[in-house]
Amino acid sequence: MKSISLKWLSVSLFLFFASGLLGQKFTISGYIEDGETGEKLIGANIFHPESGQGASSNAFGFYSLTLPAEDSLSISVSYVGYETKYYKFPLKSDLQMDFKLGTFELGTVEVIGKKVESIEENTQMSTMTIPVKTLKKIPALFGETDIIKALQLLPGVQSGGEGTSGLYVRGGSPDQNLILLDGVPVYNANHLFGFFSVFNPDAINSVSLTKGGFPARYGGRLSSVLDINMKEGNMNEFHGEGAIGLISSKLTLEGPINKGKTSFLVSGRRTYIDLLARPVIKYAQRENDDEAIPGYYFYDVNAKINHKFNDKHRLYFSNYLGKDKFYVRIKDNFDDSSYETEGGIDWGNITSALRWNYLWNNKLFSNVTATYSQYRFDVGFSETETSDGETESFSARYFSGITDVGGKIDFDYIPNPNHHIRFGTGVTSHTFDPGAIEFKEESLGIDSIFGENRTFGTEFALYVEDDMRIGKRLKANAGVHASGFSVDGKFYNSIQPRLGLRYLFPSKLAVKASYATMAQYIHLLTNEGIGLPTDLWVPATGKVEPQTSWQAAIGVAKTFKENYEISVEAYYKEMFNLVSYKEGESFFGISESWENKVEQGQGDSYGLEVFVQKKKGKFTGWVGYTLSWSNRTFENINSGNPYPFKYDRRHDISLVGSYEFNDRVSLSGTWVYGTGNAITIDQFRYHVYEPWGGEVDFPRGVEVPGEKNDYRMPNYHRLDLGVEFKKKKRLYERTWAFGVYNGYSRRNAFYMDSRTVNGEREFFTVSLFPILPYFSWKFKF
Amino acid sequence: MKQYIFYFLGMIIFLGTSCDQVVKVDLPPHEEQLVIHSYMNPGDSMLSVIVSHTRGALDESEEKLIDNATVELFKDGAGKKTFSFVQALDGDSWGWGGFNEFRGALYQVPNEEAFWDLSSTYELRASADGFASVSSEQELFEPIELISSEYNPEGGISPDGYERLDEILIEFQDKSGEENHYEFRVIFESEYDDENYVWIETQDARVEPTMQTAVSKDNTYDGQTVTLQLMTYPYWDEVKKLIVEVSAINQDKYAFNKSFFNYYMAEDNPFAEPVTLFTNIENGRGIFSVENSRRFVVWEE
Repeated sequence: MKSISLKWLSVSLFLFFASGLLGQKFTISGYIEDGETGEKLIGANIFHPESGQGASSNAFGFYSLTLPAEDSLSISVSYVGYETKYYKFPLKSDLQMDFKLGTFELGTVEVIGKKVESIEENTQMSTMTIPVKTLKKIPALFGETDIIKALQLLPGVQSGGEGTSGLYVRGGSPDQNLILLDGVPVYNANHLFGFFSVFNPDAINSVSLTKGGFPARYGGRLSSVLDINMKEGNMNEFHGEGAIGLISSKLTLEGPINKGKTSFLVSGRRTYIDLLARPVIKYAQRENDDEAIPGYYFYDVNAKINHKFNDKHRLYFSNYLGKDKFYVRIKDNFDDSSYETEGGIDWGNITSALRWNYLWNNKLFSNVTATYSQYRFDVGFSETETSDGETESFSARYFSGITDVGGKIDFDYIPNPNHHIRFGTGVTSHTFDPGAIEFKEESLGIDSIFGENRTFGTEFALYVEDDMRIGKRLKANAGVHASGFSVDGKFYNSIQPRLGLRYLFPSKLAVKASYATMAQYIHLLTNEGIGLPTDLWVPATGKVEPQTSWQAAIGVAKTFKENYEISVEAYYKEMFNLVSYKEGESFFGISESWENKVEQGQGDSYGLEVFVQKKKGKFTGWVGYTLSWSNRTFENINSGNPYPFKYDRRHDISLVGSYEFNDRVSLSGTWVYGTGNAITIDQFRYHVYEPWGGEVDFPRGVEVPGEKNDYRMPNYHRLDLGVEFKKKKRLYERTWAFGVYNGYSRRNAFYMDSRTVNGEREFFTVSLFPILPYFSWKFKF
Repeated sequence: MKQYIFYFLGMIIFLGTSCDQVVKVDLPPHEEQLVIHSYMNPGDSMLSVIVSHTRGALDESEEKLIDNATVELFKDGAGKKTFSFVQALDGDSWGWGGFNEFRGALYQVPNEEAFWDLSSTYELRASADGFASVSSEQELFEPIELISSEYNPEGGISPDGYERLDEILIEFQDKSGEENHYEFRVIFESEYDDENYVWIETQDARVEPTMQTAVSKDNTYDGQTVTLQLMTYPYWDEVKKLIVEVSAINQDKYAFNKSFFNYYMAEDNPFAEPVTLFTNIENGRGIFSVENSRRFVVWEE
């Protein structure tokens, strides 16, 4: 009897410990990287198919996944634009593993298959990620690959006008986009009045655009978050790439400073229209007494260093500097005197970020960021007169800008595969210079500045969110973002709940829904026409309130035949306290405060977006379609009646395709179609008689506009084509790229106006670009 | 400085071998309306009203002379003055992108100062065959009493910082407890011309330059003794006398002046939002204004 009891006790103890062992869980954590360059992959997925558990890498490539112990654990690691791989290895303790996609070999780990990641797995909706490799293939104006123009090809995202880089996301305006470069806000993303963006694709690692369903970690803008991460620099080998194009050239160098520990990246580009044109202009003016030289250029430089102290500490220091300058220099020479006049406009951004990663343990990751961002716009004019040996000079300039200094700390806590908790806080100090004039005259000793006062504002943010799995089919991302803004003794605050849900049906059809409220404490004063560098960033004040919005979206997503993703989303958004210049007001003139030149109103937008994408194979590309409405209502504009937003676009279609014939030749093309922009046209006219001098002087003809934005410019469509020929040489790889912008020379309207010709009144459109061929020579080593 | 931006945009358009294309636009049919312009002052010897009409944006037919209109001015709905057609005002004017013919009809009636008082309401009515009748109501405001004035040649700097301007300082007492609007004009009397109305600039945030005038409203200086700054471009002819005319105007004239100036500023900018001219003419367009003006000599040779 005693022996039987002991036997049973032994069996029971064995079963108890065995069951304990069976229920034991371990955590795999580490970084997911590009195998060739060591670049961290952001948003890469690690997935355990057996349990359906998974995790995504954060903005620094870090992941953490806790799974039950197994003798032979199978997981997949995937990333957009990379081939997904399955790995098999034993999991009997916590593991720190860095996965290197593409060239992965990890001793005991076996690569057992390939699969593309699926859209239905993610809770997040309304987010688009395009690999930079894909972006670079898209044909572009003058051959200048442009990240923002590529994003305009996605559903729900529209361009402002022909060739311009403005982003209008789900009926929002460009100031409602939070554009982050390595976590630092960029205030003016345009070169050349918006024809090019400031982001040099050679320096960019990843681009993701969120149009709705904003996770709680994002805040400060109403309509979108464009998160751009710079490359870190190759940790293993020295490499370079560059291009010589029609209007600019660029060069990027990257490599290890201390192999495996420290790397750098430097990338620069500059246009040279001014340098090429200068001799021609001088020759044309060789017989003139005076000489007038106009010119334009832009340049930008990206630089980054990252250092890995050990497995727990990493430091990143990234910088961007960009500038545009348009100038005219005039010299008048007379017998006894000469005049030198110089005028021009220049604008540019400087951003800087210092980031420190700290891995507390295999489940808790933190990042501390210090940021600096400056945007400055200057219009200047100076004149120097030399006469009888005496010199007099005079100068005036108008300048405006915004400067941010900020700090934040973000945490990722992944206690188990069912929860990914993010929380953090940050503070940003804004300095607004909404427009001032500096006037100098040496002979009279005048040196004064007058205009708008500099304004200081401090913005605070605090958030917590949990990306959670609730059962087998339901996932949710729930969180709250709290923010506050202090300006001129006034304090605004906002609590913004965020929720995203995903339900996966057995047929692998995912239904997603999201709700987000947003607050924005800064405004951009713009004339709704084209994005000019003169547009002013101003804060919410005691008189002008912060913008707020709420957005709800619902959609479905499914992957077909592993290669085709389809998503359909419907959204509705309401925006409050939007800012618009009053009729006829503009940034010029400082006699009145900007606060008196604007009024606040509201807007709504709603629509349907369809996106079908093929990600793999010789042919890749997508079809995007947007059906949308966007309206505005201001008390003193259009008699207080709602009117269509200028970029209200009923239909917007984009077709993007790329075909790789072989390793050497690829063909790409895009075709876009959009309903014409809404404009206001004149309905009738009459003469105004002014009472000058008590007598009737010549009257002036005036035209009376009809309902605001009640008319449409002609529909827009355009075909761009490009072809690339690659060849590997002994020391480098070269690529010739040829293409055409506006392949069938469609006369798309840039603006519309009216005139009288031979006594006949007519409306006409002015177009910018006919068919424009381009070429560039690229190299890589 | 603004011109640099537009020059540059122009350059881009040119370099882009831009081209224009005529677009057919289907406009809704326009029902023509009477247009009334009348600026009355109790000190005028004659009261004037100019009558014309609107036309559709694409209508290139000749403007009609409306010489058969009935134009009347009522005081408190009773006392009536009937205007008579005096002459056609015609010629070429500038507007809607080129020169074009205008043809207004001038109606006048003799004025009596006794017709005007501060407690009355004045209604202008006009009707003509083929047009809907129009009307507008106005009140007369008390004129300002000048306390002092000062003229400082080259004493100011233009708002864009480019040049020195002549400065004029006007000190007066604002009436408290009511919203008052003022219009300023600067007049040079010269050896060659009797009167020259000049453009007004200012660095004073309380003054807003408009078309050869400036306006101000008293929301920041209600009931106070205030000194406002006006600036003018130095006049080229030999100046004998410098006069400032200050008019007590109503909200409508203030809004009209501002919108007319905004229209003018936005006219050559294809990217500017269209500006609708303010009107206080019911069923029509134009402006009816009753103004109480005073002239002050601020400098004399």
